[in-house]
Amino acid sequence: MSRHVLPGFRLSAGYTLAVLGGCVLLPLSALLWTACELGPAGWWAQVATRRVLASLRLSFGAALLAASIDVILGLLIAWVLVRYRFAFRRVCDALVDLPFALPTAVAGIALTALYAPNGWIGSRLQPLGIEVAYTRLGVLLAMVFVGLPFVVRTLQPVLESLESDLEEAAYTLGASPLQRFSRVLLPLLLPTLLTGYALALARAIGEYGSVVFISGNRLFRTEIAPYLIVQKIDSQYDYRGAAALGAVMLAASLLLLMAVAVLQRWTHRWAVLR
Amino acid sequence: MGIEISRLRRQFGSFIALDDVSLDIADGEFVAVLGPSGSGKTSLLRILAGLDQPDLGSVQRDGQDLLALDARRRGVGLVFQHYALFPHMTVAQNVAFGLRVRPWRLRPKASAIKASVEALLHRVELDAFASRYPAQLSGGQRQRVALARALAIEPRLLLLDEPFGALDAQVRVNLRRWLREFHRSLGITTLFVTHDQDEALEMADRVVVMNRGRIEQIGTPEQIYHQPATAFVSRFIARGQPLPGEVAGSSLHVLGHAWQLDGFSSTDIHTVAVHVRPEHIVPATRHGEGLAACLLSLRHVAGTVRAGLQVEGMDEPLEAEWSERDWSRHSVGVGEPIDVHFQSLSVFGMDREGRVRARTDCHPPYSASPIAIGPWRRLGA
Repeated sequence: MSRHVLPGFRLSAGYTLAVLGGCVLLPLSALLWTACELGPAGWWAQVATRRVLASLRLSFGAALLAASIDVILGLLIAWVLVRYRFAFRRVCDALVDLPFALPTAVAGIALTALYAPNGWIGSRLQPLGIEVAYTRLGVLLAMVFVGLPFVVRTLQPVLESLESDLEEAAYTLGASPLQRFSRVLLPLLLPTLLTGYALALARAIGEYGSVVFISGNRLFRTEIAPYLIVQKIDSQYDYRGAAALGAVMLAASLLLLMAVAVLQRWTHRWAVLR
Repeated sequence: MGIEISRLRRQFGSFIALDDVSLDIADGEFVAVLGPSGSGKTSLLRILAGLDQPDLGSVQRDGQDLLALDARRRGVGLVFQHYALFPHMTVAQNVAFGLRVRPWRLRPKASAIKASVEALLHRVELDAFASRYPAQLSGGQRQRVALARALAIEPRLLLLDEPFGALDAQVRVNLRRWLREFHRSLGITTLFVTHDQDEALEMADRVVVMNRGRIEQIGTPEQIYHQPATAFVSRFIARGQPLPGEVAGSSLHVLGHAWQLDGFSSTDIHTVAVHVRPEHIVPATRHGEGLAACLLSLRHVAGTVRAGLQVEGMDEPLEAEWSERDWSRHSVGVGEPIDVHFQSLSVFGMDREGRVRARTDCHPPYSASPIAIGPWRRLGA
């Protein structure tokens, strides 16, 4: 009788490594290899242009902001879906997954149609001086849209398993509603919120399909880094330049995700310790 | 003075959790609410803590309406069955919580909080664990942290929900004694809820037995055990086992025997319940005397013998309990016939609504010579 469900450590570990290697490591090393062919000076020339830096700033800045917004909105949505029973709750629950299921280009075109100056919402916002489509705000909106399900779906099971005992204990000890939330619930949810944040962030940084339609790709203004990569390949067949830019994004994303992981571990230290 | 609970009623849909519950608790008293699950004892506790409101009834503390006070301001310490410690806080932070969340004006200074946390942790013998997280503690330690946390707010009433429910037997027994002593030294009015008879009888000054949302009996552990007021209390506390029996005039008829019954008026009586306790079923000293039965099983548990008996004329087997010493005089094997006596029977007379109208004990006369050696004793065996 084996104690493990899967047959043998060697077989399962070998399989895991082969899949990870083939699907993840191999393409990534090819990317780095191609980028290296440029040499340091060529690489620098590719990356340190005003256009590239502007796009990187937009990609990462908007993604960080979008993931933060997702965390707040996602917490609210997950909270309502878990804690309250109301008509069409299950329909709302299913709607959360829509950004997952929708082809990103479809989402992008739909958002653009809605928020364009002549669109259903855009035409109403324009008199207020708010332009969404073809601006950085549009980029942010698309990123928020695609990242939201990650936060909601990671939070839901944790919220469901959270015992009402803890809130009641805080209540009988004299804590106000705000103190119950900030001192008991939030610290308990923080590790999960950070996991959701990391997922939404990763998705937003890499998002292409839905963003390029609503952003309008205006030079220095609303070009995102993935768009530049596609541009280099599409119009100039510049694979090395594209790889150089890709490598920068890869490194930056990795650093960001690691930082979030470290933070997540720290906020969860009470459960990890033994 | 103390706490006066009067005519509480709480209903969840069609389920009645509390039905006309009244109870007075004196200052400094240690009261156990005992009942099977679903008897309403936790509902009572939650109402006292302010986590739930009754549909009807009132709770007064020293003449003040307790129900009108928000749970935050009640000064009631509640210890949850599964402790409900905040897992992301250390032991010291958990204990300090109730003081730290106080409004700014009432909040003690950080140094004062620190001092009282230290004093409390010392009291519950957890000085060395102040900076541990709950996940690093054993069940008994968590229980004591939960107690210290509840006591930190200096409550005037301490409520314990199944305080030992989640602990293993050895820890439970130790902690019981410890808590009893702790209460004595503290003198704080304490109400605890349990489904464990031993726990309630051993620890409490007074026991409240609940069943189906109603209070069946309130009394000292001795009263509850020796004079159960209802058939339920007799079954639940004294392990009374129902016998088929009837009362006709002033005699009790059980399994073909008739005994004189004193102090039992059968006016207004609709049904009669006759109970016998395991320790009141004794082996007859002479063969052919008493009731014929068959020994179904025999288990030896810590100095006592528990026997399963099939008494002639009954469908259900009865359980008898004898001391190991008494039983050693007999040598009846499993599956063999044995004659038994009932030393004492409890008789309850109920009216049409099921309320107990009359109760008495019946001691069937039995001719026993105290030094008799059973007829089945095989000399030299």
